[in-house]
Amino acid sequence: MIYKNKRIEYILLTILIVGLILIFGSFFKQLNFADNSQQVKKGERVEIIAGDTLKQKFTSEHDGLSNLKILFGNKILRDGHFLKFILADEKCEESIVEKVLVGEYEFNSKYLYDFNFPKIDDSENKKYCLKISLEEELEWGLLRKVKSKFKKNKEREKQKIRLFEQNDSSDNIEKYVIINKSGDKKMEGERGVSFRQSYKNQTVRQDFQQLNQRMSQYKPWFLKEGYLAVIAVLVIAFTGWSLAMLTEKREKEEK
Amino acid sequence: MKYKFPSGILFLILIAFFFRGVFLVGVFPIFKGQDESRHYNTVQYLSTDQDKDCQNKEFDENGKVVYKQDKQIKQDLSTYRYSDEIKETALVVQHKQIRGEYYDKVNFTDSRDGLGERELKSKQYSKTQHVCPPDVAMSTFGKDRFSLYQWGVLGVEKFLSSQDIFVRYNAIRIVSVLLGVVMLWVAYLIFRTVEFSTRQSLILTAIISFQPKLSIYFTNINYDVLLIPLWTGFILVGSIILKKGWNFTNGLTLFLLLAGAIMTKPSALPLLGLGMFLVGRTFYIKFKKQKINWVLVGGIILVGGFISYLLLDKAGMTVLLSKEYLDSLGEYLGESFSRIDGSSSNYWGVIGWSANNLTLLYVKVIWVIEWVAWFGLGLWITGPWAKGLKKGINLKLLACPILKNKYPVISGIISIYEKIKKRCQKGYFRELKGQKKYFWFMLIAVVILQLGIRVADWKVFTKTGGLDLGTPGRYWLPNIIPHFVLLALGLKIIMIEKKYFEFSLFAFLVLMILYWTYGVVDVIIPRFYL
Repeated sequence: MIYKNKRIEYILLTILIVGLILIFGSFFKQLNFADNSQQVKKGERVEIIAGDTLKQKFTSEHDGLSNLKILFGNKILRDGHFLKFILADEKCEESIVEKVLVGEYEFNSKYLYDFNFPKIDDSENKKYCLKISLEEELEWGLLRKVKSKFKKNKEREKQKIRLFEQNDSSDNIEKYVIINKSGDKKMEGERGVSFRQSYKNQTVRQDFQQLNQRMSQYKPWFLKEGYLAVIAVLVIAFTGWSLAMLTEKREKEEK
Repeated sequence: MKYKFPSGILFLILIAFFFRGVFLVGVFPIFKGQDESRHYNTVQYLSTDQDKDCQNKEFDENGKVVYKQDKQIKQDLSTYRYSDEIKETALVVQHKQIRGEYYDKVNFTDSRDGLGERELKSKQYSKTQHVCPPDVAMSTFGKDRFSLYQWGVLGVEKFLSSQDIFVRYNAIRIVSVLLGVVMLWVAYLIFRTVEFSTRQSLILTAIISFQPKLSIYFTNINYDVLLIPLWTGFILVGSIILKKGWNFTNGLTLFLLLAGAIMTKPSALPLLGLGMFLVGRTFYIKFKKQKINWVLVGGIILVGGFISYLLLDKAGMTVLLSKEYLDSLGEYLGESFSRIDGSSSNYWGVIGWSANNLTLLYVKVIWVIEWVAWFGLGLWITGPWAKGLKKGINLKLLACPILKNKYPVISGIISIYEKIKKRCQKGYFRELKGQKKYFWFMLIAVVILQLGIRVADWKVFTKTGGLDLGTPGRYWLPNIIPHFVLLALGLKIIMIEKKYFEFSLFAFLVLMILYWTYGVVDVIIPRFYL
């Protein structure tokens, strides 16, 4: 095999750049600022079964609503199930954004699910409706047939999706309602479900400023705001410089 | 190939590590590190008058002093037997939220100061522990049973005593980062001593500077941040002795490093075994062609054994020879070894509260690299044996087409083995001969620490019936340099040519950079601030 030094160098460089892009891409996706005055807690259990839809109305406190962090009691969404998230208008009729989770899906971060959607610029004091519905796969599609080959004798297990009721009432979050398959009200909670609203600022620069502000809290003066930003720049500069020097063109054979 | 300014590149690697460390100090909330609050409480305990005015002191019916204990809630540091200042700070910084579940978040303000931060800074809380006995981290062989590390950073605490707790606490954390820089510099010297080229040594140093667990650990207040550089220093001096032999300076430095490490944390005791290996090897080489004075050898073994026994007895380890402990050994080994993959993941920097598919992939790639390296080392060590096979069984015959179709992986391994064996027979391994002594030294270092960790774990297991101490990967960190020397040697053998080897090191570096960045940017920052 002919060995191509350059080619390997480029492959490694490409892996590094693509990896960094993906990492920072994921970071920007997470760059939402939740209002933490309302803590997410595991209160009373709320269960929905296939065919049920949970409706949760809430009022956005700020502009830039871009994410809802919902606390689940399940580790996974089992194979053969869909979990549908809809952010709708205050009447729970017109959907603004939809997202579907297909089983088998594993919830990350201790069962907190990030329902991300494009930022809503003028969301302050507006009422929205979060709908979460569990559906079972009806048809045995081609993919399922292929899958079933590997999962002999394994029956589809019925799943219940568990959420939690908040411990305290909040003015911004109404009581949740569960609607069954036929559209009848199955139950109404005492409070809202445990979830948190998150926002993005108008610009990425403002997002970074807010992040810097949060990171500065409960820190000494030399790790606050401007100092922290300078340290971050020095990290990037010296790390980049040292790596560039490490891969520099070399002079001659070492003894 | 040669760099124009190798020392300049080393300086850049070290300074980049330093700034990354300081940045991580800024990222981690106060008291978040492993046992940090207890270690800082110990420093405060030493900084104050230790005759405590115990508020929970009572007398039993016999007139004996007893301390009334309120229930300690794991997530709530304000219920610990800590100083007033630490307990008050834990409440103000909402530490329960930081210590709690992933979804528990601090309630931030819209300014640079957190809720209650200014008030906390403006008030002077007592650094004294009013609930007895104070919850402090002891160290059996340290001065007054306190670690050399705690005595060392006590100077920082006292020097900055007029500053608020955030300044003092984070200044001590930055001392940890500086100790990490020293450790990294010593690591480079080890790589050079064990005859890796300048370029290879620099790349290896850079890889270690990005090892997620190590770089996070060196931002903590914990006696391990002194133990690791001392242990690494011992490895360096040991390597120099293997290379150049003993002299007064080497001997004295080795002794001081050993004493310092043991005074820092008793888990440095396995270094005694490593020291014995160095002494034993020297005697073996010196006397192997001479008539051995068995009385002298016996005397040395007796004295060494007696000193080790006394130290182990002081550390409470001789009890392990009792029936109760020996009976539980089998059960302990079964349970302990079933968790080795968890320890390894932890050692490579996997953060438990964020384990996901990407993390699993990273760990699996690392394990593949490790197995490849161990395979290379195995070939190297069995080199003479492989030579003997020249006229014996030819494994190539086993790699026949039928086998190839049925078991491609086995067939592939056999053909790599055959290729390396051929090179071995042509004398490829001869040029590595000089590195073999380092291989044994590093391997013994790894094995001996593992033994030490498991003995301590077994002791706790016998008492409690569970793996309460456990073997988290952070316990493996003192041996990170010997481990990397072994990995690099194994890769060097497998990669055969220098350029392949260096590219494999670069690939390893890329993997470490990506996982470090992922850990900080996508896991740690979102956990605490988003």
